Amino acid sequence: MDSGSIAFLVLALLVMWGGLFLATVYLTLRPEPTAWPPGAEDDLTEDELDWHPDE
Amino acid sequence: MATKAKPKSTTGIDGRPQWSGQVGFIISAIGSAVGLGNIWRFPGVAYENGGGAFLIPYLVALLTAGIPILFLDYAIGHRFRGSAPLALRRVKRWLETLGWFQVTICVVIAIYYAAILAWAISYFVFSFNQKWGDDTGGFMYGSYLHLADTPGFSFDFVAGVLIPLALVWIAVIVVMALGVAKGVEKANIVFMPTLAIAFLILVIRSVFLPGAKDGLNAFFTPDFSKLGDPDVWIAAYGQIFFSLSIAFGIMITYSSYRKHRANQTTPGLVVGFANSSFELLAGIGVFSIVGFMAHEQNVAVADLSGLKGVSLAFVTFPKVISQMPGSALFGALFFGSLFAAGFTSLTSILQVIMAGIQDKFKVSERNSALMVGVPLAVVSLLFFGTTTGLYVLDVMDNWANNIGIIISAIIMTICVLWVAGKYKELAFHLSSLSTFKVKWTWLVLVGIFSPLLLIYMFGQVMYNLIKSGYDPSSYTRAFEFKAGWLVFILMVAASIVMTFVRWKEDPDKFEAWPGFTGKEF
Repeated sequence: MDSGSIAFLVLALLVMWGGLFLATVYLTLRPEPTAWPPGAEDDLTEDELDWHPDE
Repeated sequence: MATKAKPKSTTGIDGRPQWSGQVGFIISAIGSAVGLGNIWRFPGVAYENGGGAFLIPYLVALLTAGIPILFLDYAIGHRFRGSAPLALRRVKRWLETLGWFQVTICVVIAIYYAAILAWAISYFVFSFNQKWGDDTGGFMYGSYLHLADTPGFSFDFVAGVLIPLALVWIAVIVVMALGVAKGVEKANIVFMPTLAIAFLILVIRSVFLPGAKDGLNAFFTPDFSKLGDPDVWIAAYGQIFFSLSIAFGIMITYSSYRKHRANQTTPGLVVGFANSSFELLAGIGVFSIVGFMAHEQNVAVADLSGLKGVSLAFVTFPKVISQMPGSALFGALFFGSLFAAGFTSLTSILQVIMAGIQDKFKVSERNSALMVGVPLAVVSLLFFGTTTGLYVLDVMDNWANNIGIIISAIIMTICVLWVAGKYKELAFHLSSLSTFKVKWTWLVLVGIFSPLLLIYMFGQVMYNLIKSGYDPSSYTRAFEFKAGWLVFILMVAASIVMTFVRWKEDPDKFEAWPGFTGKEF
């Protein structure tokens, strides 16, 4: 491959795949805000409430 | 103490269907965005518009219009918690018509999109013995589609298309009837990893084919002179716009199924970049294979034609697949990927229609799947199971995408943000619930830059349509009127009629959360 096309291949991979990687890492590290506005309690359907003690 | 999994509720506290969690939402949103356009449109558009240099306007378009409008969709759907008609009505009562217009766009797209899936599944089967033979164009348009000599509307049905098309509709109705969490989300959880693995195998194999580097050179070699051409920038914005499933109700509907306390913008970044990452992967795979084809025919890549759309997938690719070692596997991987990408997108398109019906008439997910799916299947079979299906599809696609979605986006950005004055409220909503905050930059991009650009794009499309028609070498003006403008007029009429149909429950008895007084932003 030509050097120009290799450069653009690498650049595109870095920006798009890098963007995906960084966004995923950012979401993993900070999945939720530190505080929610008051009100609107949700039910037990989302990830964090998936498991509970057997009664 | 022993523990066991608590069965997840599939509805939230407000009675709306709900994703099983953030991961389920993200995978489903990616499944919606990654569709046929990623595989057969992006590589050809990039190649025609400057190769490697196209990636510059493409990335600018992703960051300045694609992701900002995606955030706007999320904000509307999540804050006003409804299908496109319900959520937009809650923004301003008269905007319900725009919501129904987005639903009608989905109706039109769904009926022809299913036909392409039927072709893909047929070709998946044909791959095992390369039934298409040496004359792949003759096979596709002749032996398979029995394409009529002249465009029009016929009722000469083609059994080879009709049967797989009926099967696609049965499969998708079953998935939709199972609901958001158990149907749509589960389908995405099965199809998306399968698609990723199958496509990755395809791409890795293709880059080692003889001639692949010539294809990649053609794809990535930058032609910087193209950057001065406004049409190249318009092409980049068009690609991002159509590829991300924005401004026609899908992301409004999907975000309305998230719990109240849900991070909005950061998952949006993941979805936006995942979609572009898949497009890049498709570009690498497609042009490696195109390079192989040029190598086999001993011609330059520039001399090849049919590098985009239906002809790329169903004429050019089968020809290349036949020449490859392990052609049956290669064919199955390619057409299986095409089907998987399209199926998850089709479920998202249908969800927009079903959600509108569920909200308006308070019917269950199962009943709405039948109420929506069966009539659409009948129309789809009548129009696209015939010898003229491809002609109708081509014209309808142009009007639904290039006119319908652009109009919808222009009205949505201007009316929601400025006429209804919701710009501060929606920015506040996104920022107060997300870890990636939006401020004035987002508002300028989504409220000023994007509408101006969309108006320019729309003007250009209309100018070309009025001046010379959509495709004067293939279609008469009369046919374009019937399959294009008439369908568009029907879409507008249906949107107005649906607005006046009475809601089963008062849609305006609703309070947005978190509360906003105007001083928070």
